[in-house]
Amino acid sequence: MELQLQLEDEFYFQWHITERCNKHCRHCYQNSHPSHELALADLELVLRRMDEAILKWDKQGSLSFTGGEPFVRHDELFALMDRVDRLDSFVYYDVLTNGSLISDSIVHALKNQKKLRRVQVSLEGSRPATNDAIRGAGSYEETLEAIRRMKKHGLTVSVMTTISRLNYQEIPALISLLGDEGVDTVAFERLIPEGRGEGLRDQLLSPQELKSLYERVYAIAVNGAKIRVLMYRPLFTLVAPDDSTVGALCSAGNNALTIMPDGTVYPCRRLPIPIGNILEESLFAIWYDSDVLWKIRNPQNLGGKCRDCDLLTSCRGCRAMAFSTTGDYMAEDPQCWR
Amino acid sequence: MLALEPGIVLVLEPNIVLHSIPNRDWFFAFNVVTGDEFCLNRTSFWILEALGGGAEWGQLKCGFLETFEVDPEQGETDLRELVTKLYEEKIIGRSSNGEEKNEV
Repeated sequence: MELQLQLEDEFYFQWHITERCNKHCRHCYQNSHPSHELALADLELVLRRMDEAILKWDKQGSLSFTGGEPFVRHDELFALMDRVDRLDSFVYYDVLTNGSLISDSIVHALKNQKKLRRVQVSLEGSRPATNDAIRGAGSYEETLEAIRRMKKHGLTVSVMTTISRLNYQEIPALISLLGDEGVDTVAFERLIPEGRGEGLRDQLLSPQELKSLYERVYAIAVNGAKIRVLMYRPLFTLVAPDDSTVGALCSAGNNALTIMPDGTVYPCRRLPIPIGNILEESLFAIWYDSDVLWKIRNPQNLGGKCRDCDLLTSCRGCRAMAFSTTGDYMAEDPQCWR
Repeated sequence: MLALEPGIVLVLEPNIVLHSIPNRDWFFAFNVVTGDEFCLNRTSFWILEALGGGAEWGQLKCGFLETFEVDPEQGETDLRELVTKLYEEKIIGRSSNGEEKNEV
């Protein structure tokens, strides 16, 4: 009897080890009430369960440690990175941080982590005023300093920018700036109006604005940008359907899970529907028996224009965007311009 | 070995769950404790669904022959083969009321 639900060869965990943060960004998907967080012994148990699942599935595991701000728990963070360094199941991990706590000593410690692929920080615009209006006064310079500190010591650095009307006109200039700073990769995520970001609902791009932006980003990326522009996101496919480096299926239900600070599991951090708790049930039970995941896996459940789209094999829109704007995670992606 | 005779009751093993996406021809059984995945064909999946909370061999056979409209002799042979395979993979077992027999 043939085994394997072979959705993808890789499996990714986004692990929020804390929701505490020293910033208060306007667009954050987190609300202002940090949840209970696990002690190191329980974090290690979570890691063992991830390891067990990856080995059973014979996948290449990857992991992002994040928060909140993960470096507010730097002792636990480094302890977990040390453990992942010794596991065969995980090929690499990233750290997603706001960069504000990255001192020289942190950089030196990060240099010793064997499977650390990238440190990702966030920058929201090419100008301090744009970034700081979203992330707080002084955060632009703080982030650039963190980037320079890490690059000086040879770490691979990526930048994530959350796209909204607050910053989309600066994206080309931001790509140029990051290239000049020697940043290795940049990626763009659409603003999802949830958590504190719910207050920015009126700042979502219209479908035409998004189309125009994605076309510009693609043109910059393929015409000699000094930085690698990652475009593995739903809807990017529409810009260049025949370019395999562009676009990706939503990973929810496909090859990823998000673990929250208290062990709650979400399909995706931006799709905050609890589907279990990794400390209370096995990952196998969550992954194999979640009605939410099975509903997402079946494209026949998609609504609106997504359902009959001829790009279904490469794009099904963002389920989190559908959920946050309509309450139905299977609704059409409201920013799709098709 | 599992003796498939009138009176024997077959059941899904306790940690097995079933899921399908018929329009993609995806039929699966999963063991949520061990993590084992079993990719099934439509017929095997029908058998597992038919077992539900338990089904007696004779009833299962009648339902199978009626649903798939196959020659009774060949149909029973095919069903025995599939059920035996599902049993060997530990996807199904006997009801605790059933008695273990020596032959299939």
